[in-house]
Amino acid sequence: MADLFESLPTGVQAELRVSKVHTAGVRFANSEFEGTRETLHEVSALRVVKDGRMSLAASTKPGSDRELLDAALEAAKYGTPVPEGFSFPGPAGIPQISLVSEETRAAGLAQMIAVGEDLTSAMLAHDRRLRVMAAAERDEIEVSLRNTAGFSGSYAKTVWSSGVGCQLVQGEDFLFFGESRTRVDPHEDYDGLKREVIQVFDWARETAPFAAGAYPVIFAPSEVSYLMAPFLACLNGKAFARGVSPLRERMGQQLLDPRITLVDDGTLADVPASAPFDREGVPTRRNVLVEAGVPRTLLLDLQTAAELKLEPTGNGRGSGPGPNHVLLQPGDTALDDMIRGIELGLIIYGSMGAWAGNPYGGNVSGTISLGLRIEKGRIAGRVKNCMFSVNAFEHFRDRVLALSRETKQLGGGGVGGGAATYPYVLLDGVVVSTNA
Amino acid sequence: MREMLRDALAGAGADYCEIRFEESHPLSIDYQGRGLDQVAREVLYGGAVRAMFRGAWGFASFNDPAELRAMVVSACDQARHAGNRLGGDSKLAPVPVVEDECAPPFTLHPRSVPLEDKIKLLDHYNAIILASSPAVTACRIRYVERSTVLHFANSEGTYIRQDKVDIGSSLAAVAREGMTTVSKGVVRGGARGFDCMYGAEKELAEACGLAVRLLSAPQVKAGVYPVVCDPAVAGLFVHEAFGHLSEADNAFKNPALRKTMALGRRLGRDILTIYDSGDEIEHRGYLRYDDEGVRTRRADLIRNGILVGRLHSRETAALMGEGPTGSARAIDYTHPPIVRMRNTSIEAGQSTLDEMVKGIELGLYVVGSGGGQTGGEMFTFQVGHGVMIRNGEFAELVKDVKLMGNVFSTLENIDLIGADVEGRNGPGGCGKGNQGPLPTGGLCPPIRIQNVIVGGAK
Repeated sequence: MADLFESLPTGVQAELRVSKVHTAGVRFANSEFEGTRETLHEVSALRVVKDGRMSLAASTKPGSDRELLDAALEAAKYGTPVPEGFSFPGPAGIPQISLVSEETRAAGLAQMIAVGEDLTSAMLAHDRRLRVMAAAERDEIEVSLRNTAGFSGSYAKTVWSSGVGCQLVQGEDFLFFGESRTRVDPHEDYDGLKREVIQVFDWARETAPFAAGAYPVIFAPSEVSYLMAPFLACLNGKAFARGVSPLRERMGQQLLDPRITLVDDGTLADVPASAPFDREGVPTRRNVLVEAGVPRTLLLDLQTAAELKLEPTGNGRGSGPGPNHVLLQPGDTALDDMIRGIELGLIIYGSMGAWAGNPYGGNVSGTISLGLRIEKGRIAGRVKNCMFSVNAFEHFRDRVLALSRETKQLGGGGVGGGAATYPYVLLDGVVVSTNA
Repeated sequence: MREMLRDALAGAGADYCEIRFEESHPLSIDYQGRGLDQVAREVLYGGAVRAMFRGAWGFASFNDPAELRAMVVSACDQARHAGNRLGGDSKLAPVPVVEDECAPPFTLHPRSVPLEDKIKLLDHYNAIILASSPAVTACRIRYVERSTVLHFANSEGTYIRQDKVDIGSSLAAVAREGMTTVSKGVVRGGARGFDCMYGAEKELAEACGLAVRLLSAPQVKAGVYPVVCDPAVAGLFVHEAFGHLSEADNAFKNPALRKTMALGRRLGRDILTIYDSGDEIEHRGYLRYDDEGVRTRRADLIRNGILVGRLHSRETAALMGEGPTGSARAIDYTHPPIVRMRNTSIEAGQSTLDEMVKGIELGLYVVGSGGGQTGGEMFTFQVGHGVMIRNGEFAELVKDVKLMGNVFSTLENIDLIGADVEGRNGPGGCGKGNQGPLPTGGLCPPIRIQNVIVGGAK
């Protein structure tokens, strides 16, 4: 690829990122072994800045350097205008973060099949009627990045993913619950994974009535991700630069409950979403996005940082800024105590469609695909045909009852970014709609 | 390419083996804020090998053609390893051996239109958006196209080369006032040519005006309403609420679900007929051959209210004793095909919109799709906006409308179907199995559904 930079027209800046991913995995479906897969992919992504405009071209075609360069140069005629003086980062020290497990690298299909068989048989031992799906997969990832300003860096990581889910169909009643986890090494707590799936499944076996109204509701960590989406969208530097974020004039103001502290951190060791530098060669770091209810920091890449005259935050993703690993600071309430403290309410483990809608308005609503009635401090069966609605801006300002001490890591597979660690969150006044 | 694939297949040590090899050229153009934000070009180049042995699958995908033979060996080794553990039988529904090279009659191939001309057109639409009102503070335009040449060969002797085009776009205005933002726009797309992008001016100007009016519209009040869906929402409904449940890979090894979805069961009233087809060339779900080399055919799913069919791959068809429908689709060479929809449609009925609204004391007319999701018997979808219906008349605008329901009761609750069908061709697509956005579409009339749960304000 050295020739690619040598053939650049005069005055053109360029950045080349090459990622290689070697994946092997096994899958169990319908309670039986379904098959295996092996994939070997390499992607070259080239960004150029020509005459003050930046463009992106990517290719998986081997030996297509010239084609890649021509495509990027043509697109640059209409590319994103960059602020005057924009430059890719120069040579820099690259922090060392532990992201590789030799055990993951060495794991073969036999080990993954054993994991899948163990998860599947544990679920079937609990209830033979369940249709079980399970998967285990390992990724070996290599990323290299260099640019015409002199930056050159690379890193490797391994990702071990596993998960199990169960479906029970009884007439027109469908019940599904599953959990998946990612790690750098293969030392997953499979017993804990099995216990959690079985526990939630057992809680959900019986259905319970639920009337429309406004209730205290516990959102499981997977659901908290939908509640955090409006904040992450509004604190994205691109939303600021393009004038669509309603937080633009409200940074530094007390907008949320003081218990809300939201951090993005791409530097955590042995966490798959971490990386020593972002998509653009900027070192990742710990960014306090919201501190005790006060929005402080934006997610910024080189482009948006330059437009807003701020420092990049290590959140470059190639098509705008994005989070690396978001952490909502946990509270000090045990989940069990949260449940015990509710006279009548819900805990939501699964929803559908909560990702849809306009994040800048703060409204989040979804169909509750797995919600459990809480009555007098105890789980009292699964509710059906219900939707929830909150306004994240309002509920996280006035309606936070508790954050759990327990947290769960979500996502983090693949080449990088997009992971989160959230606690359970108890909000009051959550609107629940139903036809009951 | 044909000989290369056939040579590689000659060494396959499995009950069945297939190779797909693809070269795709995706282009995306995004506008955000006041103008053009990003132009991105890609070349997706690579292959996939899938092999079956004793009922189990092995799969390998790669970029470098030099890896082809090694990947055939890998997929077959995996299949043998898995098959010897599973100990089943390899069953695939028989289909004709085909040798074909096909391309639809493109009207204006997007690769023949210079990038400059595409930008000019989108600049023109952007100018309409930004000039529409001081309250419109930003645009959000997304144009995506993908031109693909796909080769398929299998160990039964089939070889197919297909040329495909997919275009999807949305042109939207963002209006903002304080903490309130509203986005409204129009969508364009298709499988035949870039000319689908022309002539959006009038519709776009109307959408800009609507975005401004929605700023002051209240959030819909949560409750249970009779709902009249426009064709876009009806299309989303039929995809999310019923289409996914008709995909046979859910049921083929699940006796309880097979019983629930037994053919011959009544699911709706006599007026309801739903089908899925790859034939409609104007729409994004157009498909001549699926990713198992099977010629697509129209599949009637519900006819006059009765469940009469489902969507199949060769494996699900064989295991359920039904005919293949050409519904095995992969988003690209990095994934194996799974059972997917193409263009899913509701046949036209006889009602006018006035007849649907008349007689509703308090209800909702919902317009424009904003994405949806399904999970078993439950579905949900976001709509663009709503118009309250009061005493049989259209009344005030409402926003942030999300609908949910149970598939079975909702199908039964469709009590009127409109006479005029419209296609849907927005950007995005189906995301099943983390293989998205797969282009899908369909033709639907407006429909009226009783007792729909609507999420919103208290």
